[in-house]
Amino acid sequence: MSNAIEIRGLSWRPGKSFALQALDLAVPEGAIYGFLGPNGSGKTSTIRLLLGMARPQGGTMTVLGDRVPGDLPRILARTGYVPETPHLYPGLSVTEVLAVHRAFFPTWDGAWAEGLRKAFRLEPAARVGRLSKGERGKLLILLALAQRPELLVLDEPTDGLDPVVRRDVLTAVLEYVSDTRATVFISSHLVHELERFCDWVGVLENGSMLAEMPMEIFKNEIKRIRLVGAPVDPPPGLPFTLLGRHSSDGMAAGETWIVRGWEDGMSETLTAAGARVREVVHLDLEEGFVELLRAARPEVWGGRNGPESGLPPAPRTVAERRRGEG
Amino acid sequence: MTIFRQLLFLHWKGVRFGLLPLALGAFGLPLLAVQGVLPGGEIERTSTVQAAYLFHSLQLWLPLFPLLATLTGATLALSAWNWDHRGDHVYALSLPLRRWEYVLMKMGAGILLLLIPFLAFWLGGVLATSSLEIPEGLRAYPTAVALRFLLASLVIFAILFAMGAGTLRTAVWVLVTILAVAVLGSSVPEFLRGTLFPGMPPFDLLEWVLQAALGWPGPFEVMTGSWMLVDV
Repeated sequence: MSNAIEIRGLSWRPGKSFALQALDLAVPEGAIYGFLGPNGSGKTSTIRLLLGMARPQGGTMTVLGDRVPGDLPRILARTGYVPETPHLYPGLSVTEVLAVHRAFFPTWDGAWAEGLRKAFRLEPAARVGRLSKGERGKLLILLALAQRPELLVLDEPTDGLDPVVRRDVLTAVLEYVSDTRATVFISSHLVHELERFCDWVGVLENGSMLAEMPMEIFKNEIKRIRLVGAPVDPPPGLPFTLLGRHSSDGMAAGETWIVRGWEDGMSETLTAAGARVREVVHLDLEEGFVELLRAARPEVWGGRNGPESGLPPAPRTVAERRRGEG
Repeated sequence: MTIFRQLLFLHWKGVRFGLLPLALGAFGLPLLAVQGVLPGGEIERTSTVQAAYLFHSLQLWLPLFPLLATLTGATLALSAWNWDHRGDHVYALSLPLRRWEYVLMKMGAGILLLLIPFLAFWLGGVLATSSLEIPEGLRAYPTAVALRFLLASLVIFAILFAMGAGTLRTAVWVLVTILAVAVLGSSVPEFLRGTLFPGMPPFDLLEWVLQAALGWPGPFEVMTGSWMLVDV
């Protein structure tokens, strides 16, 4: 399977306080890729670099097989983009916005655009500047979809929208994807929302990719284990990755470990080290996401195991983890 | 062509409320300039007196012609980028066009819109001069002055359009550079003459730059040349 988006070693430092650091990212063709990260982690910056709106200091990027920035017009003609902040001209009516936008996209589907406009209940004569936030969000999605793009890049498309509008917007996207097999790259910090329909997930924190893998693996790999008699130092050669550990509240001599790569039967390794596994808790995407962030930057995200704990750093991607295991 | 038409439409939507009064002004200004010398006045004039009276009347209004051209160029240039800046250029940058194509088309749209006040000015000039009894030896130049108006607007439009295409930081840097040249260009040669090089001839960089810009073949010569609707 080829990748619709491929980023290798992307570096960008717009100021002193933030930098994207050798970012690697791959979005398989036809995937719905959830690009997760807390506010300020670099999601929007990555998207802007990807669409040629800023120049990186290093690295390579290809989108739909074409290189950024060399083939940008070809890429942008096949990409529907919904930015984080609405950017439409406020003086135009909905009809005028559609007329202007269609001029740039030869693949524009006028009939479908009109159908979406009616479905979204957008008045043709309404001025963009007077639309509600939800209506503007729907108009942006309409513009991106009616281009009939091969790739949809959605930057926090539902941020600040009410649940009804969110559902309208996401339903329209999913219907389009099921019809066309287009690739979707959607950034958000609303984790539970992405969990329902993404099949790939990447977690960005402070300009670095913490993890990138299929959603099912992400949801099944990160677990919370409650232990009694846990050794002070983790035994060498653990078959899983220990992301973090802390004392379990209200459990005498108990500890909670956050691990990745846990499989049934691994408790024997811990038993051999003198510990007893009391419980293995499957984490959903949101819990796994939070634990990943805590493990990556405990001083920021409130985990108790800082770098001084001596725990090994979490592998960044599936491929890297495999390389590490090999 | 479809894209250009849409960019023209966008510019028109953004500037129409500013452009229409300017076009009206461009139409009315030549008429106002000759108002005092329209036929039917009470003074019995000889050809020489009439010519002097005409020149005097026109000269009173002359400074307003380049001023209006400047306002027209500036309005169109700044409105060209207004919406782009407000949206942080995100919309334009997400369109499948190379940046230079977008900028060129935007500039073309602005120049096309400049033709509205130009035509209004030309029409006003033609009407104004045709209503005059032009003394012997003088000629009306409504087309030449209208072309000067167009050229002057175009110069201002092009400069401000280029500045507006960049970020606010770029614009600030350009202004700071101009200011620095103005201040240092005047004070440094004077300081050197007073201290290290007493024999150095007086030199004012700012004055030199202004002369180069305002005189032929400087870009602003079009502002300082003749704007007389009626001349020898």
